[in-house]
Formats: sequence, structure tokens, C-alpha cells
Amino acid sequence: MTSTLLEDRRMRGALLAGMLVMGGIILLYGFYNRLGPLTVAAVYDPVLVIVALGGAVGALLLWRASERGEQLRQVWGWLTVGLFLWAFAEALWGFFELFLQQDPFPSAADAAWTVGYVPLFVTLVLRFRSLRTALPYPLALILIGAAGLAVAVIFVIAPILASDEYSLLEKALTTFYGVGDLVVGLMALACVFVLIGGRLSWPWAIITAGLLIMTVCDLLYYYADWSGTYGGPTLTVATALADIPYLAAYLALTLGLYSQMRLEGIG
Amino acid sequence: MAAGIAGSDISALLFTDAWGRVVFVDSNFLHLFGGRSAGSLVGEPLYRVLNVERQTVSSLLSDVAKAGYVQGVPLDIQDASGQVVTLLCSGVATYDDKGTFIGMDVTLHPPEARGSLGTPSIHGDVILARIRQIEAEVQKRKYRQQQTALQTYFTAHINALHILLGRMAGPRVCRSLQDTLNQMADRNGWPVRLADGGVTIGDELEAGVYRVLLAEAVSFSVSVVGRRLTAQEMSAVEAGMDARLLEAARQAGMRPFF
Repeated sequence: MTSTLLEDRRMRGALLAGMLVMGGIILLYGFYNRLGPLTVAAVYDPVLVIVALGGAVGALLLWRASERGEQLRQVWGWLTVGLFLWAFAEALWGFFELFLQQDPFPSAADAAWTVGYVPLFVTLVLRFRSLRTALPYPLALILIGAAGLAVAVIFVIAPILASDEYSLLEKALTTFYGVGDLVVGLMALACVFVLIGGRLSWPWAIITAGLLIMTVCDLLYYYADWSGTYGGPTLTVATALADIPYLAAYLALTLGLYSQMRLEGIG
Repeated sequence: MAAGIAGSDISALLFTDAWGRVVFVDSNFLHLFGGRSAGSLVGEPLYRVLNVERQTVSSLLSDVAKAGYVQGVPLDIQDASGQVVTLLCSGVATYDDKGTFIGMDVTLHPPEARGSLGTPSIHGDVILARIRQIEAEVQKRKYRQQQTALQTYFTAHINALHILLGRMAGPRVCRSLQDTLNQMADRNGWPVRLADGGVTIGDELEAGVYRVLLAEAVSFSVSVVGRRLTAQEMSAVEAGMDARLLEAARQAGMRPFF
């Protein structure tokens, strides 16, 4: 099945482009201490927005390729809205960071992100329902969810909620992102479980990987930000682990949608 | 030959096989056509027995096979003395259990007995009954042909959708399609069963049943893989189908789906 995906020349090209972007960003973070956080952000933020926009455009193209009244049209339509909102949130984040040189958390970007979860949630509900198949391995999903939630609560959410350093809004947002990411990731995983053995499982596996990586990165970011180990003039492990895989998460979303397009003969 | 037929109002009856060889002649035939025994006529080509052109019998046989029967076709039969006598010929087709044409029953009667199908001929009632029977058989055959066409069309599409879903969405979704269609059939008492991509149809189904089941399968496939891929797969299946099959499916309202 993987070979089928890799047999596609354009898909191989897209993967190569993704790897080059990731390689470039890793290299950029290698020079973090020499370049400084603002210079790194000046490259990283626009790249992130472009990659996020790529995913949104992919969803848009899938929406356009589907026909009126088709169930998948709604799936891609909601995903388009969600990913555009997230791309917009990334752009706002970059704007606050680069042009206003403000700490972007919390900011208007969070509003866009928060609202963006709604269409994404609807997307995954509709996609799962469109498969018309009972959920396989429900216990596995519950265990993964419970383990993920336990880690998030014990190591990130609970300490942040217990501290006085974050405002109520920041605490609420941290909890929402932690739980929201996990819920969305698990819903995507449910779709993958149903599709295992079919070609469509690959786009959804890549998308799910992106969403789960994003969950980890978000938790890492909020933990690092709260503990004061994020950013600063010298590169910390927390900064590298929160930022670099975060771009990989968006790349995975975009590549997942591109592979879905290729399977449908679009693009 | 035909020595006693002119001026008579008695009809003669004979049966042939699908190739026009005589398999049975009645006593009237022997009487009217005199001179030969039934045993010597059986197995002989009809054109030789009647002493007519070979093409005449071929065309008669072909018309009967196509239409199920012919009625009152004039045949110029040359008797032993060389005199040409015109007789009217009616033929009805005979089919086996599978609806295959296996021969014809022929009645020969003089022109004076043209209106005899209802009254004077001793074979009139038999012929009318046979014609009704043949008409019923032809209808049944047409129905069976339509059934076969719809079944073929349905099975081909269900198999194709099953393969498409297996390839794109995996075995679980395939099984789910199977379960959906089986449950639908069970609920309605339809003798249709899907298992491992194969379709078993226990009895003849109404066209509406095929239509409803196929519509459900198409809707399922569109929901999972989208209309584009489903339509592509179905078009590919139809590209390899006979035009008559497609016409039968169209008449039954099973196409076009998109």
C-alpha cells in the first residue's frame, strides 16, 4: 500500500519537498543561537503559514472536486474552513511575534485556533459517519485516549491549572488545546482504524499523525512557555521539540491531503 | 404426394426439430399425403417431405423461432404428378424448460379451411391453445431474459463496487457494505445474499429489488470513496457490457446512476 503511494511521481516529489522543508528548518534551528530567535521566527513563521495554507488549499481542491449533495463535499468543506482558520491563526501569531514583537499567547490568534476546532471536529464526525462502519478496536482507542489524557493532565494541564503564573484565559486555552487536540487526533485515528487495509487509510494515517504530533507539540509548548523554557536567546530542547515537530505536523496534514488528492486523481 | 389434399378440408399435423427434420406426422398427414409410412418420413428434412424449396422451410423455421408462431402462410407444394397445390401452413414453436427453441408444430390445411382455426379444422382448437401457450412462453422467455440481464448487471456492479471499496477503504468497509445489503434483503425477505464479494440470488427478483439494492450499494460507495471514483468504476464495468444488457438495465430504471 505504501509502495502504491510512493509509486506516484508527484507524491514522491511532494514528500521530497516536505523533507527539504524539514531539513531546512532543522538547519535553521541549528543556527538558532547565532541567528537569534527573531531571525529564526522571521523564517519559521512564514514557512509555517505557507505549509498550513497548503493544507487548507488541498482541502479546498478536494471540496471543489466533489459534487453538490455529496457527503464527502461536506467533509472537505468543513475541513477547508477549519484549516483556513488555523492558517489564519498562524499568520496572526507570526504578525504579533514579528511585527508587534508581542508574546502572541493569548491573542486574537487563539480565537481563530479555538473556532477552527469546531469545523475540524465536524469534519471528523462526518468522515467517520460517511464510512458507515462500526468502530473497530474501541478498547484500543479508549486506552490510547486515556493514556494521552493522563499524560496531558498529569504533566501539563494540572500543573498549569494549579499555578498562579497563567491567567484564567491562558489556563482555559491550555486545557482546551490539550483536550481538543487529543479528541481531534483520536477521531482521526478512528477513521484510520476503519480504513486499515485500504488505500484511503494512508492519507488519513498521515493526517492523524499530523494531528497527534500537533497534540504533543502544543502540550510541550504550553508546558515550556509556562515553565519559562521556551524561546529566549539560546535554543532549548523544549523550544526545538515544540517548534520543529509542529511544522512537521502541518506538513503531515498537507501531505495527507495531497495524497488523498492523488488517490482521487486530482492535482 | 398430395394426392388427396386438394378439395379436402382436413388438416394435417407434423412436428419438426429445430433444424427442420420431421419428428412426427399424424394419420391425417399420411392419409392426405399418401404413399409413405410415418417411419420413412421421420428424420427426413421437411422441405424434402413437402417437396418445396429448402429456403422456404428455412425461412418458415426462422420466422417461427423468432415470433413463436406463424399463421396461414401459403405453401406451393408439388405433388407426385407434378401438380402444384397451394396449402396454408401454420407453425408454432416448441421450447424446452430453459426456453430454448427445439422445434415447431406444423399444421397444413387447404385454402378452403383458412378460417378453420376457430371452427372446421379438427386441429383448430389445438392450434389456438398452442398459440396461447406459445405467447405465454414467449412472454416468460422475455421475462427470463430480462431477469438474466438484470441479474448480470446487478452482480457485475456489486462485484465492482466491492472490489473498489476493498482496494480503497479496506476489508472492514467491504464487510460493512455486505452487511448493509444483507440486512436490507433480510428485512424485506429478498432471496439475495452477499458473501466475500460474491452475490447469490436464490430466486427470481423483481427489477425494483435489484434497483433498490444497487442504489444502496452506490450510495454506500459514494459516501466512502466519493462519486468520482464510484462513477469511474461503474463506467468501466458498463464499458464491457453488451448493449442489450444496458438497455434492459435502463428499462428497469437501474441506470444511469449519475
